[in-house]
Amino acid sequence: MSNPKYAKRLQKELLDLRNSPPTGILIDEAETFDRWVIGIEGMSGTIYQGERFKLQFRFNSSYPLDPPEVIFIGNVPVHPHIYSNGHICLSILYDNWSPALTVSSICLSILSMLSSCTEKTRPADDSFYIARAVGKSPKDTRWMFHDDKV
Amino acid sequence: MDDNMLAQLVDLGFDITVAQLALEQTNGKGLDAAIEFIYSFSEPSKLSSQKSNSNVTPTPTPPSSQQEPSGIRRSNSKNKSTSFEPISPQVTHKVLKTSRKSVKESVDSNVSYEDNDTSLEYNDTDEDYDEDYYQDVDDYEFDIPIHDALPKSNTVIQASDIIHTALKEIEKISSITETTPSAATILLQHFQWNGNKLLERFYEDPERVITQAGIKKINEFHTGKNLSDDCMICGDSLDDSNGCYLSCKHYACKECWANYLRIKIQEGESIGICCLGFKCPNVVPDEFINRVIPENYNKFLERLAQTYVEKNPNMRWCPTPNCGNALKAESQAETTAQCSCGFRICFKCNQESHVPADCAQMKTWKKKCEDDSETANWINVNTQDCPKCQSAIEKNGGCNHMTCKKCKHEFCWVCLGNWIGHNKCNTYNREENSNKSDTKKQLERYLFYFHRYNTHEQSKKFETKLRTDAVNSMIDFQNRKDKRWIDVKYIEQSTEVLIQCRRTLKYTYVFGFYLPDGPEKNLFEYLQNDLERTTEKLSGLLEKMNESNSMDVKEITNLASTKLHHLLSGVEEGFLGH
Ligand SMILES: [Zn+2]
Ligand SMILES: [Zn+2]
Ligand SMILES: [Zn+2]
Ligand SMILES: [Zn+2]
Ligand SMILES: [Zn+2]
Ligand SMILES: [Zn+2]
Repeated sequence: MSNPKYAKRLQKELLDLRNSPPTGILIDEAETFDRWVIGIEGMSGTIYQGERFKLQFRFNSSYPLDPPEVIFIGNVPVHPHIYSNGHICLSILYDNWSPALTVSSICLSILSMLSSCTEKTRPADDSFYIARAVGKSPKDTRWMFHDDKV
Repeated sequence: MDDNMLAQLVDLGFDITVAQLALEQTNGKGLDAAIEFIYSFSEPSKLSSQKSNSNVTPTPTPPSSQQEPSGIRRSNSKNKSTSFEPISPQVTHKVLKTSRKSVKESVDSNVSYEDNDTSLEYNDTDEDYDEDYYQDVDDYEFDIPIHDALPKSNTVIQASDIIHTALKEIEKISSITETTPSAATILLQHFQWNGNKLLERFYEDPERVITQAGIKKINEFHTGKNLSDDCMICGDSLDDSNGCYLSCKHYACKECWANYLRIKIQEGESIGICCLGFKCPNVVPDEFINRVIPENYNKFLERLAQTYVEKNPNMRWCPTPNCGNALKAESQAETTAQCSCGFRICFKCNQESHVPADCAQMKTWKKKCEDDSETANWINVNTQDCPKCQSAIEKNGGCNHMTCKKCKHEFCWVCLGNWIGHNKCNTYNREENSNKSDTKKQLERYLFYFHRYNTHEQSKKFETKLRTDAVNSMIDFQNRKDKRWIDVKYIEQSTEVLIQCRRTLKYTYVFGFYLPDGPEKNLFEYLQNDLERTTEKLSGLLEKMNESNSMDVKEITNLASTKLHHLLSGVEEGFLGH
């Protein structure tokens, strides 16, 4: 984080997350303002119940004017909008980003995306996409958003 | 094949290959049938040679019951034809119409132009050029005027002019209708930027015009208010110097609002920039922008003015980086437009003009190229080994007629065949590849077409540089006294024609890829090969440009124009169109 004005905002977000974390959301790593790892837990009553996943956040100096880069690392949930390389097809992370969104609200959106899913499948174009996205940020992909309801 | 008939056809002035094809296609039904066949796939005047004073009357294309679907008319021609061009019902895969002048030309490459008055007729729609040419060249009567390869029916408008004009219009409407610049822009868009019509209606019934255009009341806003909440973006506290919000009460500090608005304007937004609240649909009023980022307000107004192009169905921005010109066509029905920077755009899909392939074919083709990009990667475009001495050859020009520096072997860059005796490298040979598996065959067929598509694109890149050099040397020449502008103008024109040919050749490989085998394809490939050979010749000449070959360059340029025209009209009319 090179912009001190916005470092303050991340500091505040971090404090909020530490003090009153939403259910199912836990800070794994937040030593720097460049990269955070946040753990999320599949909610009970959903097909991901009890499963733990890790989200990696990368912030650039324009955050929160620019969205953070958010991907799953390690165990990637099997979901029709999540590619096996961890990239997530979710419009608020790209085109529909708003600076009013926070790390916590992103995590909640992703949890809700997991919760509404009824069948564990990979996106139809998974192998094609991951072959082309090697070494790239999901922010460089021009996403055609799948149905946001699922 | 009846050699006698063939001889007669050649005597009548037809190209031997055309004659052979015609006889094949008509199964030797007789001379008349063959002639009729030739005329049926091409404009009559194009195939009769100069030397032929024959009494063969061109057979007019018979009227067809089927009419052109979208009512596209050919324009830009003095002998404008208002009748529709017939389309052969069998030809389903393509009929692309482009506006094109009628050409009275010869296919015979040996034709000399000295006493050829038809080549002057060709110029009759090219006002610009005519003027320059005739003003300055009383003593150049022997010279050859260069034709435009493809017509240009659009106007090119400089970026600064557009913004200026549009801004003036916005200001005017804004002050008369007492609306904000955004609202005035919306009103103008509603009336397709016809300010007079807008005002006429506005004077009749102002309320109605405002409501119909969907202009809403200006939202209440504050740009300096002491608030108990903190900035929702950075967390700073908000006081009467920096507390900003709209009626939706999404509080943020002036600096965050400023950063947010600057990004939006940078990204090209102007009308209807929304509040920074998540999914908040509240539109930021112009005056709010003016107060928060006064230093960027003009940029914002410019963005409004840019919609003059973006929302105008007859206009397009030139996609060339840093060009900034806008292209205005006479109507929406136009298929292509040409920029002064050399770029030619497809008006339908906003990509580089891709005649003879159509937009749908391009879409499928590009998808295919993306999918197969790994496989096609092995095609190293700029280095290959000399097929004779194996020394590595780097390509640094557009021409595909290569001469190895080491062993002087002349070969074709595309197929690596010997240049001597090389006359056809555009036809994919099924038989040669028949012992391979289906997938392998399909892949090789695709690679065959892709390789040629790619090579022409590479050549075009080199040749575009040639054109830039030509323009520069023209400026150079103008500053020197020993040359007149007219002496060098032709270099620019020739490189222009060369690029047109190159671009078209590139896309003929897309068109050809999707064209089913058959007599039609044979004719298409004949014309394609013809254009290809002439184009390589022109490219070679232009690379070795010197004062003594100017006549050659001009001749070959016009020949290339003609071949290009033959190919495109062949495609346009359907090769076997009846
Ligand atoms: Zn702020
Ligand atoms: Zn709002
Ligand atoms: Zn341009
Ligand atoms: Zn197109
Ligand atoms: Zn060699
Ligand atoms: Zn070849």
